[in-house]
Amino acid sequence: MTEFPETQTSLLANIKSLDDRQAWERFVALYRPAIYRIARKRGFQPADAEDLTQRVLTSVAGSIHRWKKMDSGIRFRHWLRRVVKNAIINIATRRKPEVAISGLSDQELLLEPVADDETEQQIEVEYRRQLFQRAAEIVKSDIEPTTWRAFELTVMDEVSVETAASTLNKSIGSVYAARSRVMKRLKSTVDAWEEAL
Amino acid sequence: MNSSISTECDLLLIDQLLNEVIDGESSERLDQHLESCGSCRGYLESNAADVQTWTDIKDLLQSDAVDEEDFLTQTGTPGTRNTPARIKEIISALVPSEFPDHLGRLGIYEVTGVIGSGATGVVLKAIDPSLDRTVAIKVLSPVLASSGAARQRFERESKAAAAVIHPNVVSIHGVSSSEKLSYLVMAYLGGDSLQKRLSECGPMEAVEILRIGSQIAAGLAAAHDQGLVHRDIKPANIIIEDNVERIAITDFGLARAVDDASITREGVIAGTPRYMSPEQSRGHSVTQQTDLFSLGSVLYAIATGRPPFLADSSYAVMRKICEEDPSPVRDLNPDIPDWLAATIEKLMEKDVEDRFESSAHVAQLLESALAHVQQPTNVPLPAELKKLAQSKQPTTRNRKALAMFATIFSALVSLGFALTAWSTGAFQEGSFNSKGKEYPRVALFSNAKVEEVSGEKQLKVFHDDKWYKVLSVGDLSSKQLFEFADENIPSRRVNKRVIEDLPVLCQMMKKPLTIPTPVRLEGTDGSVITARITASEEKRLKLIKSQTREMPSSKFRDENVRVSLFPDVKVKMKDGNRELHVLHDDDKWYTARKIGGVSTESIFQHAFENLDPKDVDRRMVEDMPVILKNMGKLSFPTPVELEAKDGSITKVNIIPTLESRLELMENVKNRPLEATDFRKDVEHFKKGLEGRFAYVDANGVDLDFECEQLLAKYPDGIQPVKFAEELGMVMSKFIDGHASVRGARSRRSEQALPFLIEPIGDRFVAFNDDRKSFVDAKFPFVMSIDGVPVEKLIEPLGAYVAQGSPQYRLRNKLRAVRDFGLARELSDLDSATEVKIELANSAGEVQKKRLPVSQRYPTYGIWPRPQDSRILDNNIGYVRIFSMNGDAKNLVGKCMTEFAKTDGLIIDVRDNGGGTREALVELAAHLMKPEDTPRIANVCKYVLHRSHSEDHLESRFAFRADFAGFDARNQAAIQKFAKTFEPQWKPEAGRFSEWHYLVVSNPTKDPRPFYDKHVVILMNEKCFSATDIFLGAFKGWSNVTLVGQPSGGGSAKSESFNLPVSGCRVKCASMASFQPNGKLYDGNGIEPDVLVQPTPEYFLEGGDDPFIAKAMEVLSEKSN
Repeated sequence: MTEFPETQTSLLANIKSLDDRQAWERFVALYRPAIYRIARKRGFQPADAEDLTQRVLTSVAGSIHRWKKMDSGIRFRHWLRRVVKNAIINIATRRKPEVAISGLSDQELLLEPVADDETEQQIEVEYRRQLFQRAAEIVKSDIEPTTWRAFELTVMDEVSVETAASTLNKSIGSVYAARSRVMKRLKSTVDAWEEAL
Repeated sequence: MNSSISTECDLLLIDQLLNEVIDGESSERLDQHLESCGSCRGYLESNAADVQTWTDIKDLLQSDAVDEEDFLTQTGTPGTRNTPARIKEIISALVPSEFPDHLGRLGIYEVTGVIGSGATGVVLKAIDPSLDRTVAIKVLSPVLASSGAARQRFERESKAAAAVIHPNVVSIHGVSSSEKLSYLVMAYLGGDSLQKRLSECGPMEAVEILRIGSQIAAGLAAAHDQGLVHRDIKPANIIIEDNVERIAITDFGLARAVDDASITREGVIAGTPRYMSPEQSRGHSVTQQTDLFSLGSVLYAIATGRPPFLADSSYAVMRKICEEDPSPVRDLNPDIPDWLAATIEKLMEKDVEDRFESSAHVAQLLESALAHVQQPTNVPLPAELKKLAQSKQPTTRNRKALAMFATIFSALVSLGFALTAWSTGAFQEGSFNSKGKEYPRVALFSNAKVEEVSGEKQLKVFHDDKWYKVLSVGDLSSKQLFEFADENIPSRRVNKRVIEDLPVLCQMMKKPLTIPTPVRLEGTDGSVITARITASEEKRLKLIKSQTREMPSSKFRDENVRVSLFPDVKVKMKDGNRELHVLHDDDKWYTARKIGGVSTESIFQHAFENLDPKDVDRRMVEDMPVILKNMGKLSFPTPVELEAKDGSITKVNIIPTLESRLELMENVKNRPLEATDFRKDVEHFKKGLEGRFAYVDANGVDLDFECEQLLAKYPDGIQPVKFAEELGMVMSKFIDGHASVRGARSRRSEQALPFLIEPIGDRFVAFNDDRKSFVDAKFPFVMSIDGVPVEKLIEPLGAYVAQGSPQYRLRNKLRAVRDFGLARELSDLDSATEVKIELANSAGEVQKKRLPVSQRYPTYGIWPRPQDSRILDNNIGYVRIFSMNGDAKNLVGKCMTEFAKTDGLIIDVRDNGGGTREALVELAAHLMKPEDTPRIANVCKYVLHRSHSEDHLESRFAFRADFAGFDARNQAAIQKFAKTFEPQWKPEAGRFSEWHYLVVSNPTKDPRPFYDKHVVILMNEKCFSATDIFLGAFKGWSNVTLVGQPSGGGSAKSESFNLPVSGCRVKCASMASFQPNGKLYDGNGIEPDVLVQPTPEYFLEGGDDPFIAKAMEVLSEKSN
């Protein structure tokens, strides 16, 4: 996938606060794949989905001045979440990719859309997915490979604990323990991020 | 290792393990213990993460689910992007191919791409070189394959599935295994999955549902015949073949092979559960009936556009599958025939025994039904389905009520919590004890208010950071809503109800709201948008949390449903403390002391701690369940302790249901007035009119006598509806053209006249409401209807029509006769399904005709239609003003400038029902020279009443002679005018204010260019109120000619008062208003200078307009 354009730096030049900048970067990292997936699930071709992702993020970046104008009662990250949500719904509810990608002005794209619970839920799921996937990368590199493998086999690949234990040459109890440890770590990592974001 | 230790439960160790502080020895001990102790495993897992995370984790961590959705529909090529390990693993296990484009070889198959991957393995696209056909190959996940049992089962099941040869099942060519991989070869179908079709096209029509349903059922029957159960029927597993009206089930037999392999894993359930059966969700044994349930769910989804059970998590979906009925199909898509809805509902019965007996039977039923739908006259509907629809009815109705409630209260609110609680709570009770009845309210908007603008109520709502005026909600215009509410709800509660209770109102009006609800909104700049409003309770709760100190409520943009627990609530201050006062169903006010077992003080405290303080009162009133939920105290029914005025405490349980709401509304409306109450209201009516009605003695009506007669007519009391009708008839004896009584007929009859009628002289033209044709092309006039001459038929309707000019009454009677059911009732005519009419042409020839009575009321609309103001061919300016609003003033200003060089002007105010006087003031300024003496355009007085302030007529631009804003010229003009002014009727001096004058001139401060050519104003009997004033103002001006028909006649500054018991709302004039020539507007209207009689064709689209022709004539005369 095309990386998000480095215009970021210029667009974001007016975000002085380091916190906000970091918020933005974390935000892009989490939402870019989320938007892409939602688009794909809506039947967009991969190329269209990529265009669309970029379109959403550039339009949000381009409207940051609007957040600055508003009273600072809304924190940057809350604001970001909302406008991105709006943009995704506005786009995702339009069936035709070409209309969605180029037929809307930035203004229209970020307008409060017609409520769409299903899409909103999807955004939440995709967002959570990104958090967990990132957490998985970290936890995986941070933990003994067999522990991870126990989790992967039993949870991801739906292998029975007995099979996993014999595959990994471990006791059944230790497979149970391992997968819960991994789970706990994943969950804590994600929780901590959510707290910070 | 010590076995005695290993059997000991030590939860501390588990905590240590999870917090990564456990030592090696303890860890080993714990491992061993876990192997045998299920409860410790449970503790471990639930402390590692919540159930939902366990349920979702697989889905969350799977990076390839996107491609899975496109299963069999698209050739994906494994690029470098995110290629999942398992795909890589499988590809690496392929034998290298001779063709550089290919990914490899598997057995004899040349693999060209990856179609998708999922839990059970990866699906490859490949070429079968022996037959040169494309195939799809499903490769069992290597991990699964490593389990010998799973592998064997996979092969066995696949072989069984391969034995199913049926056009509606994707054929399995064979099962093979290479050294490393087990795989299944099946037909490759182009085409979309039903899932894709569904998300693109939305709900389908009955014929398509039957076509798809019968084929799935046929495919299932073939498989069930072989003893196979699919277990995973869902739209994604149904393929619609390209260009063929054929569908095929895929993935047969696989689900089971795989599930069995992982069946021992506890706590986690795989897959999308949306289409699962209850028995599957519960983990019970699965039979062929399971597939029937899933088939029902699939049909439900394609019939309604959404899966039957929606929730935030897989877990919640499964709970719903087990515990709840989905919303009835026909609530979501009323176009689905009842028997089809009943069929779907039977397929989805919770109990296996209640479903159909076999898929073969279902296939055959659906096929016959399909034939019936395609040829309804030749093929009857299968008797079984007919019976099913009938037998379902009673329960369906029950369910409908519940579902309606659910639709409004749960789909809108998406009440994960309340749906179960409310529905089961309400229905287990069976009947409600009347003490326990209370009613929730649902507001559609986060903030709303009702404003009254020139006598008309408007609902203003806050949306997207702006205030909008609501034009319509669902199918109902804002006007219809208010009219209905005024008629059916005690007037003091109308505004509140409209604000807080729209969904119930709409339901009462038989126009239940859909979800999301389309709402047309008009911005302050006149732009119109359509918003679709949905809301979820989840979101509300989240917002309550997140709003704390972070989001000022002005930025709060959610449009969420709010539910109040009581019919009416207010927050009152007492001794510096807040109290919650609630109206209970005995119509008395109480102070709520405890709600949901919590004291009201603590609820307030919680609200203040968690909400923007500004918002607290409103939330307490409108949003109690959410606040209680937030406190963890919400239950249904909700116990409430109410303190009466005398200090006694009443405990009630509140069970809000839509049904009970409707019942209450009906009761309030229909409760008969006892004789004493009747007398009280009549007395109030009399006092009200005497106090504030301007025309109470303008035409010699004896109010005392009328009231005595009314009381004598109903010695035992009266029904409120009848009462309002009677009062209306009294009101129509006065001259007030605006008079009305709300509360009379709640709705019109089901019988509508199928055409429109307009008068021409003493004849009547009958035409269709598309204005394209007469009822009969050759016979435009209608003489009689059901054998009664038109003028006689409409006569009794006069009782329902306010007074006013004769022409105004005539047109309103012709409008009223559209309620043909009422007209027939009043003339004692049978309510046949046909209306007999007698038509005539201008030669006097007669033609008889029968027309079916219509259910749709024909509409007049504004005629001639609003059109652009412009310069006509012969340099005559044409200004069309169809409403006297602010736009009219701007339009006049603009046109008078742009049309300055024209040779004459036509101002067309036909069908203009009034508004404000701004356009009149503006036009007058242009039609006078700055040096001209100011003119008096309207003379009026208001009734002295405590509710009328000194500036009562300011909005009418009418002021006393000594008004400071009048300059010397104005005052001189008034003095001169007053000397000769002789009113038609003299308002009693002590009862009315001094005279007020509307004075027009070309202002010296901001002079307007004088238009020096002649002006014609086109008018007709539909000109009313402010338009009467407009016409009366220019009557007699030398440079203006009024052309057309006499106007309606009404000038009132109406106001309303309510009768205390019945709630009837009486509207009457507060002002006596006179034309400059001394005539009243009411009862007279304005006479044109030049009368124009319309022709029959005038009322049709494209017909000649004799008014314009006459105007041209006048203008050309004047210019000579």
